[in-house]
Amino acid sequence: MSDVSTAPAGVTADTQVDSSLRERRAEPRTLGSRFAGNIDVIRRFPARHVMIGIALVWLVVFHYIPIWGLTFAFRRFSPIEGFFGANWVGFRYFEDFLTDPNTLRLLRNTVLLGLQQLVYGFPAPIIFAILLNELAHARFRSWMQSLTYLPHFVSQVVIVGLMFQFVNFEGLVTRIIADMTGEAPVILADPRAFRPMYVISGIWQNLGWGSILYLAAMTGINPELYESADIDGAGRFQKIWRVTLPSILPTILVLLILNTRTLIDVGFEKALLIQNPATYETSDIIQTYVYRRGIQNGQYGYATAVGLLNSIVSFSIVYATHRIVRRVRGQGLW
Amino acid sequence: MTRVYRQSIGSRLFDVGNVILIFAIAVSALYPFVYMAAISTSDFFAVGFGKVTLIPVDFSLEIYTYLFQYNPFIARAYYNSILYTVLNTVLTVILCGMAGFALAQRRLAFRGFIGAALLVSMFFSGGLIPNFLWIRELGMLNSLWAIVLPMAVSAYYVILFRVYIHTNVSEELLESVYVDGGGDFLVFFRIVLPLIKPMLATIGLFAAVAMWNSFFSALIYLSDRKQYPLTLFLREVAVVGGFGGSSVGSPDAGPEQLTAYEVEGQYDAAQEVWQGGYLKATQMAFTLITVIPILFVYPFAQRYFVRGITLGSVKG
Repeated sequence: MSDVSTAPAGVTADTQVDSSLRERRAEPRTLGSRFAGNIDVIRRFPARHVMIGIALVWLVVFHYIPIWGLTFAFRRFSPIEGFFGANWVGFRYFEDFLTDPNTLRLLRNTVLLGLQQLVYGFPAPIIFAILLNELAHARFRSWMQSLTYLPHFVSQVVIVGLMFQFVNFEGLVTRIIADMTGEAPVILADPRAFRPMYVISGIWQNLGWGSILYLAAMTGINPELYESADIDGAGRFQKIWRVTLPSILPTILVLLILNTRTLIDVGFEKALLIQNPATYETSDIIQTYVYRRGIQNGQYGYATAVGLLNSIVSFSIVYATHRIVRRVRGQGLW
Repeated sequence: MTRVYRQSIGSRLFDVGNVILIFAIAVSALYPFVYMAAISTSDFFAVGFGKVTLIPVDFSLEIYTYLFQYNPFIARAYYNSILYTVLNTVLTVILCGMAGFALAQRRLAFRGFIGAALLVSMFFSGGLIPNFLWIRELGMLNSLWAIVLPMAVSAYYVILFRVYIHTNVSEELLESVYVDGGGDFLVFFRIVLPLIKPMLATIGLFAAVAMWNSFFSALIYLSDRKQYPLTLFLREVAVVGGFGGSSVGSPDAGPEQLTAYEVEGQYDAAQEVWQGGYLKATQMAFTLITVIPILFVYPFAQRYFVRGITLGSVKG
């Protein structure tokens, strides 16, 4: 504003802006001048650059340098040379993995576990959100929501420990099965029980919490849609099917895409807790295998190679779904 | 907003069934916590005979004295868990808050580069083995820093802070402080921090709960039992112990405890029942002391969590 008042008569603010723009265009912004400008900003406001700088250094130290460690997939680890050594061995560890008799089993277990988790675990919160939305009593609904969020905040160790209470040799589930079949099963040592235990405990833990975003999307539905559906004589289920579901479809799609990576990137900490050598036939997945071979047996190169393959496949899945979505919806994930 | 339904019989039946179903789901979410409270406050015989399902039978808090008496590490583990959680949470909130504040400023050098560095870190990571080897190279094995430091800066939290500061702290207010000669640190700690309390609470709680619940980094980085957090002991007692049950040393029941239960002539069988009840009570008591902080914080913290997840999905 002060610029305008000091401007000579006849020159308006607009023309001033115009001329300054023209000057800027006349002098092209080279890479060098941009760099100099940035340095100038740092000089004028050093403190905020210290603030963001600490965070960047943190990311470099704890995030980016470990990424360099992925090269262990191609070199032999030696305690003397340490993290930045150079015993390159080429693709040996990858060849080892591809010829490893465990590989097929690992892949099958990982994909099957991820698939079951997606097929059973993904729709559950959607259905739960729809049922919650159908509750007329708002106070009751918010109480039920609050209660079902609770398991989400509990440690996986607690979840698995609790589950074992119900399926160990004298647990409730064991006794029910024993009463029905006449013989007591050893559920924890049964390979067939691993995936159900993993998937069901996951549903139990995330049913309430997973429904939050769908419920948030439902509060945005225009009530007139329901009213006009009423006028058209739509029943309860027709309204769910034709109004509620289509309204939350975008949310469903986005979350589905974000979840596709779990096909190969299964939450392995819980798998590690539930599994034991008796159930490896179904419970041994790629990441628990990486943990066992790498951390426990010290085969760092081999384990890094397996982990790297896993990451590449998982990232490819995310990227592929991103491309597909962009083609279908016209807008991708990022 | 009330929706007007022409209530058909089918629709009413649906309502009734729906209420019952959702109530049952809520009960199932809550029941395990009630169960562990009941088991851990009952007599060992009652537990051993499988009599306890919902409310304590022959109320006794004996297991808690046993727990702290026979496991000198538990008090220590509690202290460790609190220490790790507090350190990690404070670091996370301050570092991510400052970075978010800096990113929310109009005048910031190399903004594009910084944004890219943050974004890339969300998609790529070294993974288990490279992280482990690097932490070892840094000499942080068997130190609390391996637990507390690595996760302290998360690009996701930085972005959440940036968005919140951008929309909730007015630039005019900050300008006026700068004109009065204040620097960025003064502005951040004196002006911005009090204005972003809800976001501090949200992210602080996310970080705290994640740290309190985590066990895996402790599993791979710590080998001295004195440094174990609660979750790692709980894993031994309730998860590994859940297979065989041998990892918990249990005392023998005294004769007066056994005769009190009128099982004369069946000393061994009674002893076995008592031991079984003792083991189960130990597991449940241990689980309960691990989740109790969460159960206490949860009712107050819940709305912050919900805000966090909805905000993150819209803007993140």
